[in-house]
Amino acid sequence: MTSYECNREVELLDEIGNGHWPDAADSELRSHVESCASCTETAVVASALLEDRVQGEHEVSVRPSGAAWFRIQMRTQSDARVAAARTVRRVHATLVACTFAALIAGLAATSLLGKMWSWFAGAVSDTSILSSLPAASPTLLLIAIIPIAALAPVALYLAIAKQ
Amino acid sequence: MTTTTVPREMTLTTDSAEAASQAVSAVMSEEEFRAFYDRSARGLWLYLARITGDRQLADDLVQEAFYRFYRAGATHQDERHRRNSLFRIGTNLARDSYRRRRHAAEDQLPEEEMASKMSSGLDEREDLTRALAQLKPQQREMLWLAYAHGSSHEEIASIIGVTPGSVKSLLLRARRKLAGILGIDPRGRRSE
Repeated sequence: MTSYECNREVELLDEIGNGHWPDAADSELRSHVESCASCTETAVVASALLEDRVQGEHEVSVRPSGAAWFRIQMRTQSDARVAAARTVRRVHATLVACTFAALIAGLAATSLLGKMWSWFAGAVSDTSILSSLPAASPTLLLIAIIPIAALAPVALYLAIAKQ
Repeated sequence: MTTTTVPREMTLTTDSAEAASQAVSAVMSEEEFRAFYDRSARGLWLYLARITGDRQLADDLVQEAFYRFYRAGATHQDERHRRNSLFRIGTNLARDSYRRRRHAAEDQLPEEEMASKMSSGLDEREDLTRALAQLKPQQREMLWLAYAHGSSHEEIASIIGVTPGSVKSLLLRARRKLAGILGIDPRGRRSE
């Protein structure tokens, strides 16, 4: 310890810590403590606390180190499982949201493409090649887009799940 | 005053001193953890029991402190640094428990009630336990660390979260208050 009120405090604390205080302590130190208010205070407080600590050793109740280690490992594993489950739930929720968004986007895109196709078909309606194209093209487009929109999130999940 | 042979807190055995002199790695093996636990758990329990006044709470806090210490996986310079880190975690956990008790409207435990949790039944120790119960938590922490645990001012500052420069004055104030409660007047004389 550093910075004491009295420069003999360290010596006093050493004597207390070694169990020499007061009976086996130097008589000169004892005389000093009797005349020094700070050292008297220190002697009383330090002695009382150290005595309490020694007596308190009989009260101490802690688990054996092996049991403590085991419990910590179990808790660490449990915490890891909880964290992993939380992550999986978040990924699932994200994928479901992405799937719905993709489906809605697919429907909207199909509708727009249908309108564009009608306009295009009308613009070149006298061309023989174009007039022979099936009229159900927007429906075919929808059939093509929906599986892609549905499978894309699954592919994303599989890519993330490995991690 | 009775003469008591008291083991110095920071006196390590030869083997443990040798281990302590080496820098300790962040990830603790089972062997390292158990050795550290065996060296530190009892001192930590006693410290927490004294500052909280509750032995059962000290049981829980010791387990929680070691768990958090282990999970933190911090790197420590040496054994002392590692122990200070553990005690700092324990101190913070104890303070969390004070706050929970305050919120549960147990903030002003009657002196007798709190002292009864700490009392061992012996007259002199009852005086001390009652006296400690009248101190603020930080004062109890500082006094125990300084005089029962043998911590330096720098270690105390690190554990309880104050600047090293303020430890001396805070400790003096706490010591003076405890001495007054125990019956030592400012002139150093015990009052009858």
